[in-house]
Amino acid sequence: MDAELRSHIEAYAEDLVRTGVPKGEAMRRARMEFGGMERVKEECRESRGISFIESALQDLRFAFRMLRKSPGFTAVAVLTLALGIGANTAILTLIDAVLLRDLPVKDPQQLVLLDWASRDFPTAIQSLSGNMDESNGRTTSTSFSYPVFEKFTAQKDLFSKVFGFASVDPASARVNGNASIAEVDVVTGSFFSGLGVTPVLGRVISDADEQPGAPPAAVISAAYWRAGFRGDPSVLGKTIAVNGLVFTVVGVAPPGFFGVQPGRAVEIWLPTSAASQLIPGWASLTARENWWLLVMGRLKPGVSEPQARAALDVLLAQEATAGIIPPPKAEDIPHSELAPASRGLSYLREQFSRPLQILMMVVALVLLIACANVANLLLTRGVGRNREISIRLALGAGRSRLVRQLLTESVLLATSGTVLGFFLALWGTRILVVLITDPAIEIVWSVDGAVLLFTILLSVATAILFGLAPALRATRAGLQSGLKENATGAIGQSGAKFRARKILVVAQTAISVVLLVGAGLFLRTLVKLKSQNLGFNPVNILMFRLDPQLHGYSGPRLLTFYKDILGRIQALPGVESAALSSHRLMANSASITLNITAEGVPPASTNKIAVWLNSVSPNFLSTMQIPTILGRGIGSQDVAGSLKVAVVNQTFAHGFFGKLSPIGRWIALEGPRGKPPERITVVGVTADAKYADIHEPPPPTVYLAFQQAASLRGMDFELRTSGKPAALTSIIRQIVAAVDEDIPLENVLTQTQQIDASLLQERMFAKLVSFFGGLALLLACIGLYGVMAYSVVQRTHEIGIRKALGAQEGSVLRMILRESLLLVAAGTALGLLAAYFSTRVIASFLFQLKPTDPATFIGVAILLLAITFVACYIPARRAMRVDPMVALRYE
Amino acid sequence: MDKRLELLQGTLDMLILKAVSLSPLHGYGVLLRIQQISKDRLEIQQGSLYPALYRLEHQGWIASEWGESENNRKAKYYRLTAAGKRRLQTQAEKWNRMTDVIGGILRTTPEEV
Repeated sequence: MDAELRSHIEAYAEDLVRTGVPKGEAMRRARMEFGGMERVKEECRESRGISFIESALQDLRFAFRMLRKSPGFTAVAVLTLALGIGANTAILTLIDAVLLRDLPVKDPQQLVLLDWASRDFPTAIQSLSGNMDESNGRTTSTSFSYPVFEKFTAQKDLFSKVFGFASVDPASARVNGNASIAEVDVVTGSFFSGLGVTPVLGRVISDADEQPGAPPAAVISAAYWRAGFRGDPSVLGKTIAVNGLVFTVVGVAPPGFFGVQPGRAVEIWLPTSAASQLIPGWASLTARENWWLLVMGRLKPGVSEPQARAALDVLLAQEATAGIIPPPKAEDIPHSELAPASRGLSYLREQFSRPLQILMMVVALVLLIACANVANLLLTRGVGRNREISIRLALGAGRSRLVRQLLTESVLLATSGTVLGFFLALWGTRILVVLITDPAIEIVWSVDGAVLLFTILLSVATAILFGLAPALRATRAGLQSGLKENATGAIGQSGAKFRARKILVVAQTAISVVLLVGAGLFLRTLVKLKSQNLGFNPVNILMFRLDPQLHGYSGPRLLTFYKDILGRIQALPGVESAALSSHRLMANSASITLNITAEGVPPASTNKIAVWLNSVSPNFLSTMQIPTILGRGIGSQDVAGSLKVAVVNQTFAHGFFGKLSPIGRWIALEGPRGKPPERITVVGVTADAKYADIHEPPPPTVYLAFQQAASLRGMDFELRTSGKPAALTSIIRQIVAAVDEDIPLENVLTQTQQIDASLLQERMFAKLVSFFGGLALLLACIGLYGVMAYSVVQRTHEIGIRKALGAQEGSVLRMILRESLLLVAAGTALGLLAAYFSTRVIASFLFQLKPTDPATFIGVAILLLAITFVACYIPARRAMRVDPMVALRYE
Repeated sequence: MDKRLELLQGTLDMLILKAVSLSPLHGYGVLLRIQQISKDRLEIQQGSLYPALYRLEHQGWIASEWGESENNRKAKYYRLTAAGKRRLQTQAEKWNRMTDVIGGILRTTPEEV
C-alpha cells in the first residue's frame, strides 16, 4: 500500500515538473494535495475491510507486547495457571488410564465378560478358584469350568470369538539362571486371536499349543522382553522355567499390551494345557467340578444380549445338573450374565474410583483459586491501564473490540499457562502414579487425544473465567475519571473499587480453608493409624517369602528345607532371632476358619466366630516380641508326631473360654473333607496382636506349630536384625541360592515397609491433599498480599492526611491490619462452614475421626490466621511508615 | 456530512468503474483518465481515490495486479472484473433512470401540476 501511494505522489510530482514547477516544489505540492498519508492509509484499510484473522493477529501482537512490558505480572500469572491446569491434567490422565481407557486391543467395545449368578452356591461346583461374591442374597462369580467353556466354544452361532484365561499365582520364573516372581497367565488358544492382538515378534499361543503332546510354548510381554532378555531380537527359542516347568519363548506381545486386567501387567502367557502342572493342587483342570477359567468373547453381529444369555443359560443348566443325584434345586443352578468388557476387568477401577474422584474435586478447587488469583492480578492491572483505555474509548474504539483485545491477553496467558502446565502434568503424573500405587500395581498411562482436548478446553474456559470480568469492568470505566490527571481515583471511591478484588480474596481464603481441613483430617488419620498399638514390635524386622512347593518340594523334604534355611539364617551375625510363619503380619493375607470347636463350649455359640490361624516356628512369638501371658509359646518339642499344640491370644481365650484358663483344654479345627476334626491342646495364651489389617482390632488368633501342619505351603520368614534390616538381603539371597538356586526370594520387605504399604491410600491422601492445601494457601496469601499492598498504595494520600492530623503510627497499623483481618476472618468463617458440610464426602477414608473433628477445624483456623497475619503485616508496616509530607505532595 | 459523502461515494465508484472499463489503470492513471474524459470539468479529491479503489476491490468489482508503469516504476494496476462490468451496467442504468425522474420533476411547469 505504501509503495502504491508513494508512486502516485511521485507520478503527480513528475507531471507538475513537466508543467514547469521546480522539482522540490512539485513534491511538496503533490504531497500536500494528496492529503495526510497515514489518514488515507487508515481509510484504505478500513474500506478494505479487515479480515477476522488479521484483526485477531493484530490483537495477538498487541497482547504479546503488553504482557512483555510487565514481566513480573506475566510470570506470576503464567506460573499460577500452569500449576492449576497442570494438576488437573495430571489427575485427568490418571483417571483416563484407570477408569476410562479401553483395552489396547481390536474393537474393545465388542468384548463381553461372562459371569454367572445363582441364589445358593451351585452344588455342581466343588472347587472354585478366582473371584466369588456372596452378598445381597446371591452368589456371583466369573469362574467357569473347562467343559463349560468348551460348550461355549462349540456354540458357533453365538460368539464370533470366545476365549478363556486365568492367573497363575504365585509364579516364579527363571531366566538365564535368575529366578524371580513373575505375573503369569494361562490362556486358551483363542485368547490372542479373540482379542485381535498380533505379536511384534514370533507368534502367539494358538489352539495347536493346547493339544496334548504339544511342545510347551510361552508368549512374553514387551516389557518382560526388555527387562529379562534386554530386548534381544533372538529371544525366540530361548527357554523360561515357570514354577519349575520349562517353556520355549515363541513370541513377544506388542508394547502396551498387558492382558485384560488394568493394574496387573502380565509378563508371561502360557497355554491352559500346562495349568495343572504349574500349581500343585490344581490337579484336574478339565474336571467339571473345578471352576477356574475366566471367559470373554465377542457376540456375533445380530445376536442380542438376551438371546445370548438365554442360550448360555441352557448350557450352564446342562453342566450344572449333569450326573448330579439328586438333581439340584433351581436356586443352585447358575444363570449367565454378560458384562461389557471394553475396559477389561474392573478391580482397579473399584479400588481407585472414589479416591480419584476426590482428587479431581481437590484439583478443581485449586484451579479455581488459581483463576481467582489471576483475575485479581488482571483487575489490579486493569486499574493501572485506566488512562490508556479511557483514551482509546474516547478516540472511538468500539467497546467490543477493546474487550476482544483484553480477552486476547487472557487467552495468551491461559495458553502459556497450559503449555507450561502440560509439561508439569507429564512430570506430575509420573509422581502421582508412584504415590498412589504400590509395586504390585502397574498403571499403564499415556497422554492421549482426549486428555489433550480437555486440557485445551479447560484453558479456554479459564481464560474466559478470569479474563472476561476484568475486561468488561476495565472498559466500563467512565471517560471522565480516566482522563483526569488524578487517575488513581478519589478517596471515597477506594471502597467500591476494591469490592471485586476483596470478594475474590475472601473466596480464595474460603477454598483454601476447605482444602486445609481436608488435609488436616487425612494427616490426623495417618498419624492415628501409625500410632496404633500393634501388639508386636515392627522395628528392624526383615521379611521374605519362599514357595519351594512350586519347585517339587513336598512332605518331609519340604520341612527339612525350611529347617535348613532357618538354621543358616539364625547363625548369621547381625540376626538376633529368626522365625517363619505361614502368613506375615500386616500384609492383608491370613488364614481364617469358621468351624472351630472347643472343649466344654457349646458349638452353637462359637461356630460363627471367625478365627485367624498362623502356623509358626518356635521363635515366632519372641522374634515379633508378642508377650506370652500364660503357659508357653510354640516350642522346639512340638514336632510331627508329638502332641498337637496351639497357642491362642487373649481375644480368643475370652471369646471361647470366658474367664476360665484355656491351658490344657482342646480346640478342634475343621479337618480335611471326610475326616473328623483333630483335637489340639492349648498350651499358652499370648497378648493380642494385630494380624492382617492395621485398621482392624486384633482378631481371635490361634498359633499352630508349623512342623505339625497337615500340609505345608509357602512360608514367610521374619528376622529381627541388630542393624539395618535391608543390609542382610543379599546374604540371605546367597544362602537360599546355596540350598536351591531355583527358588527366588519373594516380597523382600521390612516390617515397617510392609505396614507403610498397607497404609498406601492414607499416605497418598495425606501427601497429596496437604500439597494442594499448601499450594492453595500460598496462592491465597499471594492474592491477599497483592490486594493489601495495592490498597495501601492507593490510600497513601489518605494515610498522609490522617497522620498530618495527628494519627499515631500504631493506629494506622491497626487500621490496615483490622481491614485485612476482616477479610481473612470472613474467608475463614465461610471456608469452615463449607468444610463442615462437605467433608462428609471423605468420611469413609478417615480412621477414628469424625469428618467434623473440632480439633482439626480449630487448628486450621489458627494456622490460617497466623499465616495471613504475616502476609498482611508487611503492607501494614509500609502504611505505618508513610511520611505525611511525601504523601500529601503526591497526588 | 454523511449524506453528501454517500452520494459522492456512489458516483465516484461509478466513475472509477467506467474509467478502468476502458483499459486497466493504476491509481494515478484513473485520476488522469477521469479528468480526461470529463474534459477537465470534474476534479477528484486525491485522498478519497484510494480508499474507493480498495473498497471496490474488496467488493469484487475490480481486481488488482502489480505491473510496470510507463516510466518503469512498479505500480498496481486495476481492471474491471466480469461482476464489475455487470455492476457498472446496473449502476449506469439506475443513474439514467434517476436523472430522468428528477429531471422530469424539475421540468414540471406550474400548469402540469
